[in-house]
Amino acid sequence: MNLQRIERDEVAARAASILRLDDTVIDLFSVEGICASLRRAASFLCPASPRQIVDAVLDALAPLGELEREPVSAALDSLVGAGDLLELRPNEGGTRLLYLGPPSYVEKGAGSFLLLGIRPHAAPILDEKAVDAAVSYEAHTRSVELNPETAADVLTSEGLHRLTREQWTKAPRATTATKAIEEARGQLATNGIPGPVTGLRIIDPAAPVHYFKGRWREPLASDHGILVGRRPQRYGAPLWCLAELKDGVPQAVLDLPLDSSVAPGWDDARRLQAALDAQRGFPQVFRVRPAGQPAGDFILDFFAPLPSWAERYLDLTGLPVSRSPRALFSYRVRDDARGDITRFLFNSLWMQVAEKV
Amino acid sequence: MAAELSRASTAETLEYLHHALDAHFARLYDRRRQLHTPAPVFALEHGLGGEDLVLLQTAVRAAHQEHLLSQSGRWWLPFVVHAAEVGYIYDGVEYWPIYAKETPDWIDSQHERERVRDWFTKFTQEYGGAVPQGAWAKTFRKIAWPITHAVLPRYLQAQLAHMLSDYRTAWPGFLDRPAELGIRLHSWSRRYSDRLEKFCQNTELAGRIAVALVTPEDGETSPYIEMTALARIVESLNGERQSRRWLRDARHSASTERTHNFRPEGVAGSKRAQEKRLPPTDPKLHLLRERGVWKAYAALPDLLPLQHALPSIYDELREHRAIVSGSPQTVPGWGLLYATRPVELATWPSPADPFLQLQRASQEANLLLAEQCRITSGPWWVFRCTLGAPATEVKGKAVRPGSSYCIVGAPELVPPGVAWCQPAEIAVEGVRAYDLQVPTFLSDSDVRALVSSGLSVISDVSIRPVGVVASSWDGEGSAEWLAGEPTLIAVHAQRAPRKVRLTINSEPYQVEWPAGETDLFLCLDGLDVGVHEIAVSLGDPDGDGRKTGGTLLAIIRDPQVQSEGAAAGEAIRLRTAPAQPSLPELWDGHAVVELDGPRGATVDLAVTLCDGDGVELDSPHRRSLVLPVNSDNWRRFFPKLREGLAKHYDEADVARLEISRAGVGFATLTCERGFQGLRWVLSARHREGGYAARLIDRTDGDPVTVDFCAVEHPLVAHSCAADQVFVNSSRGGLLWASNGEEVAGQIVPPDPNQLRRLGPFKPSVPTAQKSLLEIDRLIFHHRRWRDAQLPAHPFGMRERKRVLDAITRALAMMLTAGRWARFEERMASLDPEDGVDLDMAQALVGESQSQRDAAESIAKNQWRWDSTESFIEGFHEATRHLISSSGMPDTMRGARLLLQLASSPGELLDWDEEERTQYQRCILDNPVLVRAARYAVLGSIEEVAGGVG
Repeated sequence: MNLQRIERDEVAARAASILRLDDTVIDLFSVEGICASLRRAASFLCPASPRQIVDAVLDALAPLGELEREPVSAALDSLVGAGDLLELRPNEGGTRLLYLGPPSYVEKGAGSFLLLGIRPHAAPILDEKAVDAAVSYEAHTRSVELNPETAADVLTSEGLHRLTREQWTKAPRATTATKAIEEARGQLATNGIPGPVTGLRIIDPAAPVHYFKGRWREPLASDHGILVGRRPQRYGAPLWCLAELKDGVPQAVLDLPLDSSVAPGWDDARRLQAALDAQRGFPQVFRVRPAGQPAGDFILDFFAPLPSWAERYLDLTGLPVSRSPRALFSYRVRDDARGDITRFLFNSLWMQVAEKV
Repeated sequence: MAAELSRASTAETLEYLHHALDAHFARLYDRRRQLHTPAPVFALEHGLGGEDLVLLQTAVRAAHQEHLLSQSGRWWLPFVVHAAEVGYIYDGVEYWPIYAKETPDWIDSQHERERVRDWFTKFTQEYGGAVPQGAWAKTFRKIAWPITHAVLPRYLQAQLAHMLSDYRTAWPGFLDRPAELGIRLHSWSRRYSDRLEKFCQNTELAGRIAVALVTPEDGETSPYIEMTALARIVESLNGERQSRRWLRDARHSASTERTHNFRPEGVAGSKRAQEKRLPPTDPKLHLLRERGVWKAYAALPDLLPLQHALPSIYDELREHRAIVSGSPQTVPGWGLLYATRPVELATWPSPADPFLQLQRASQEANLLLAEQCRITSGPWWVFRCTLGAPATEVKGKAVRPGSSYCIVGAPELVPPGVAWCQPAEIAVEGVRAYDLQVPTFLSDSDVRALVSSGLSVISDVSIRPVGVVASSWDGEGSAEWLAGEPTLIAVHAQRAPRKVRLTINSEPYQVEWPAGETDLFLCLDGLDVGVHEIAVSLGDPDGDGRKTGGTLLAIIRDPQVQSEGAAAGEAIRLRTAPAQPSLPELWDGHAVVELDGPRGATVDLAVTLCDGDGVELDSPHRRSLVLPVNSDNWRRFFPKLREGLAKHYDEADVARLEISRAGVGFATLTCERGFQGLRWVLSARHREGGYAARLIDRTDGDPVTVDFCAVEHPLVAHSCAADQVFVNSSRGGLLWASNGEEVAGQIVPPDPNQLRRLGPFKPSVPTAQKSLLEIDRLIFHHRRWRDAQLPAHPFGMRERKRVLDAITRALAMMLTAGRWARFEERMASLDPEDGVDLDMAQALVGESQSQRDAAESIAKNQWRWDSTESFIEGFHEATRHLISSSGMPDTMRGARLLLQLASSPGELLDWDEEERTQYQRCILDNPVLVRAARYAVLGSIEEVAGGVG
C-alpha cells in the first residue's frame, strides 16, 4: 500500500483520471466532468432517485470547491434526455426512479459514433486501448471516431448495441398543437385523478416563453383550463403532470408520461407546453446566429428545455456547446443542417426562429 | 535430436527420448523443489521443439503398432508426454476418443486407461509431477491426469485470459501468493463457464498458471512453468485478437503491480493484515418512512466472496432457500446470487442470532454465514436521514451536529435525555425508534446525554471519500471502493491542527498536516480487497484535555463482473431459479427465467442453440414478451418456445438467451449442458425408426450400471450393458446410469410409428399396502422419472407426464383407498379432453362438516390461485383446521407438503428426511388430507399445480 498526502488540485486531477478523463483538457467541475461524476454515481446507486445521485456527486466534490446543485441537476437531466439514464417506474410500483441505459451507440456520421448508456459498477463504456481510439467528451455527450468499415464489429465486440437514428430520435407523429392538446385533454378526462392536489406548481401560461425558469409558480385564482405542472412525491423528484384548474383550484390531475412506460415524464410535459404556447399564439422559439470560426457554422440558442427525442435529434445533427447569454442551452450546427432542424422543430414542437429575444 | 535418430528403431528412439526427458524433468524437479513453496512439474514442460515432438509422437504411435508397450515399459516418459499433448488439444468433451485418434493402434479399454494413469502417478513420484485436485479430479480419476499435465488445455486458454483481464484490478496483490490467487480464480470462474470452473477447482495449479501467464520476465523462466510450454500458450492466445487483448491487459496490470509494489517482505503476510482482508459480506440496513411510520429493510449482500473461505458455498447458495432473521418471508435460492430487492423486517433481528441461514444446507455453510453475515451489535442502531432517500445505517453509531437521525433500540432502553430526541413510529416488532434532530451546536450536557446512552458524537473531524463518488458511503464512517482504484480521502478538522497521527490497520504512518489548512487530502494506492481501518488522531488541539480524532472503515471490493441484465440498476433485469441453470434444467422446466423491467414494455427474446465449439446450430428463435415475466408466465410460455428448438436440442451443448429492447435494456443468459461425468447422447434412427442412446462415461471410476424402465411398467427396471448402444423399445422409457457417485437419467421417446400400431395403454404402477416405506418407494421412482433429462421429441415429454401422473395417482389411491381411489381410477381411463368431474371430487373429499367446509372453501377460491404461492396460501387457508387436527407441527409447511405429494411427490425428496417422515405419518392416519390436496390440484391449472417446489 502506498500512502501520499496530496494537494487539492492533485485530488481533482486524480479524480478526473479515475473517471477516465484527460485532466489537462477536462476540469472536474466542467459540464463534462460533472456528467462523468454523475455517470459513476449512477452506476453504483441505480435504481435511485435523481436527488440521491446529485447528492452523491455534490458530497464527493464539496471538499474541492464550490458547486451549486442547479448545474448538477441540469447535467443529470441531460443524461436522462440523451438515454444514458432511463426514468422508469419499478414493477412493484411507487416512485419513478432512474435506471442505467444500456451501453449502445448511434452512428452520427461516417465513422463518428455517439456512445450512450452506463455500465454498472463504474465499468468503462468502451476500452479505449482495445479499440485504439479515444472517447471524446462534449457537454453531456460522448463520442468516438472509428474506421467506418470495421466500426460496427469493434463496437459490438465491446458489448455495445447498435441503435438506428430512427430508434433513438423517435418523435411522436406530426400533428397540430390543437390536436395534441385535445388528445391530452381526452386522456385527462378518462384517466385523470379527480380532486385537489397539494404542492402543485405550474408553468405560467402567460409568462414569456424565452425565460423558462421564470415561468414556474403556484396556481393563482385566475388560472383556468389545462396546464402543465409538477406535483411532489415522497422519495423522488416531483412528478410531471397535466392539471385541469378551475379558478386556480386543481380539479383533476394526470401524471405523465401519457402512454409510455419507458419515456421520462418531461417528454410529454414539454411537448404539451409547446403545444399550449403555440395554441396561445406565442410559440416557443430558438435563435440562430453565425458561429464565427469555422465559417458556415451556426449557433442555435434554446430558451426552454426540449423533449428528450428533440435533444437527441440535436445531439446527432449538431454539437452541444457552452450556452449563449440568456439561453438555456446551445448547439453548434453546420449550415447545411440548419434547414432540416428548423423544419423538425416546427413540425414536432411548433417552434419558430426568433430574430430577437 | 530428430536427425540423430533418423535411422534408429522405435525401441532405440524411445530409450533415447526417455533418457533425455529424464534428465530434463529431473533438473526441473530440482528447481521447483528449491522454491520457497515447492511447485509441481507438468508433463507438458518437456521442452521438446517441433521436430523432436513429432519424433516422440511418431515413436509412441509406432510402439503401439509394433506392440512394444510391454517391452518398452522402462521407457515410459515419452508416453506421458504424448498423453499430456493430447490433453493440450482436448476439446473439453471426451478425452479418450481424441487419444485414440492420436494413437491409432491403441485399443481402448479400462486396462489401457489405467496404464496411462499409472504413467502419470509414476511421473509424480519420480519428478514431483502435479497431482489433479478438486471435486472434478475425484470424479474423473483418469483423464484428470493428462488434462492437468497439459497445464492449460487450448479450449480453456481464452476463457482464463478473459477472466484475468476482467479482474485485472483484483488479483495483482496476490502475485506473490499463487495459492490464494487460485482460490479467488475459482470463485470468479463461476461467472464464466462450467469447464473453466472445473479447471479452477485445482486452485493451486490455477493460481500458478495465472501467475506464470501474466508475469513474463524478459530473458527469465517463470518459476512455475517452463518457458517453451508457456510460450506455446501465449502464442496460441496471441493468435486471436480478443484473446491477445485480454492477455495484454492482464500483463499490463501485473507489470504495474510489480513497479509499484514497495511493500516490505512479510508485511503482507502478517496475521493482522490477513484478518483485515476478509471481504465484507454483512447486510446493509436502512429505514424508509412511509406515511409517518418507519419501516426497516435489509439489503442482502453479495455473498460470492465467501467462496474464498468455502468454495462449496456457491452451490448451497444456488440451491437452498434462505431465512432472513426478522423477516417472515424466505428468500429463494437465486435471491442470494442476483441483485434482489431489500427484505422488509417485521421483527428486529437479534445480533446474537445468525442473520441469514440456508434451509437444509450444510452446517459448515450456515456456520460461515452466521460468522460472516451479521448486523452490527446494539444497543442502538443509528440511521442517518437524508432528504428524498432512505435513511442508511451509521455503523459507527455516531451522530454529527446539524444532522438528522433515527435511532432504533430495544423497548426498555432509555433514549438520550435531550429535547431534540422524539419518539417515532416504527413498524418493526421488538424495538422502539426515536428521531434525533441534532442541533448545530451541542452543549456539554447534550454530549454527555448521548454518550451515556451509548452513542458517539463527531464534531471536530470528518474523514470521507473525496473527488469521485465511492461505490458505497454511509455518510459517516464507512465507505467502499473497487479494487484497483486509488482511494482518495479528505480529512477535515474544525480548526487547523498542529499535528496528526494516522494509522492504517493499526500501523502508524507519518503525515504532515498542511500549515494553516483545515483539510488534509490523502491518496491510498494498492489497498487489498477487504476492510481497512483508517484512524486519524489530532491530539488535543484545544488543550482542554479532550482528544480529537475519527475513523473511517475503507472497504475494498473485487470488481463486479456480471452478464448484462444482472445488476439491480439496469432497466431490464434477468434472473433464474436456480441461478445459472444448465441447459437440461432449462429445457426440462426445472429452471425458470424471470424478467423485470418497465411494466407493459415489449421485449424481444432470441434463443440460439450452439454446439460445444460455440457454432450456432440454427438461426435464433425469436419471440416477443411483455414485461414483467414471472416464473409462472415463463412456465406457460416456455413449452411453446421449446417446440421450435426441438430439432437441434439433442446435439446442442449451449443455449444462449438474449433479451433486448433497443434503448431500454439488454439481458443475456448462457446455459451449458455442463461437464457431466455420465451423459446420455440420444439420436434418431432414421432408417430403422425409434431412437438409440449412447452413454458417455468420463468418470473412469467404478463400473457403471444401466437400468431401463419401460413406460408400460415404469417401476420395473431391466439391466442393460453400459458400453453398448441402447436401442429403445417401441414405447420408450427411462434409462438410468449410475456408478454410485454419478448418475444420468434420460427419457427415451417412443417410436411414433410403432405407437399407432400398438394402440392405447396405461402405465402400470402396482402398489403394496399403505406404509411409510411404500410412500418412499413411489416418491423415489417419481423423482427418477422427473429428474431424467428430456429429449427434444415432444412424445418423450408426453410419455413422461403420463408416467409421473400414474405414479402420483397410484400414491393417492394407496393413501385414500375407498371411494376416492375408485374416483381416481375412473379418471385415469378418461380422455384428457373430457376433464375432471370436480363436483364429484368435491363431494368425495369428506363427509364431516369440517371436511365439507374445507372442500367448499377450495371450490370457492380455486379460481384465484394463479401462482404457486397463492395456491399454497389458499389451500392452507381452506384446510388449516384439518391439517392442524392431524398433528402436523406447522400447518403452512403441512399444506406445502400435501400439495407436493398430490402434484409432484418426487419433490418431497428435497425435504429433510426426518421432518418428511413426521408429516407423512400424519397423512397415513388422515386420508382426508390427501383427498383435499388432490381435489385442489385437479381443479387448478397445470402451470400452478404441476409441482409446487
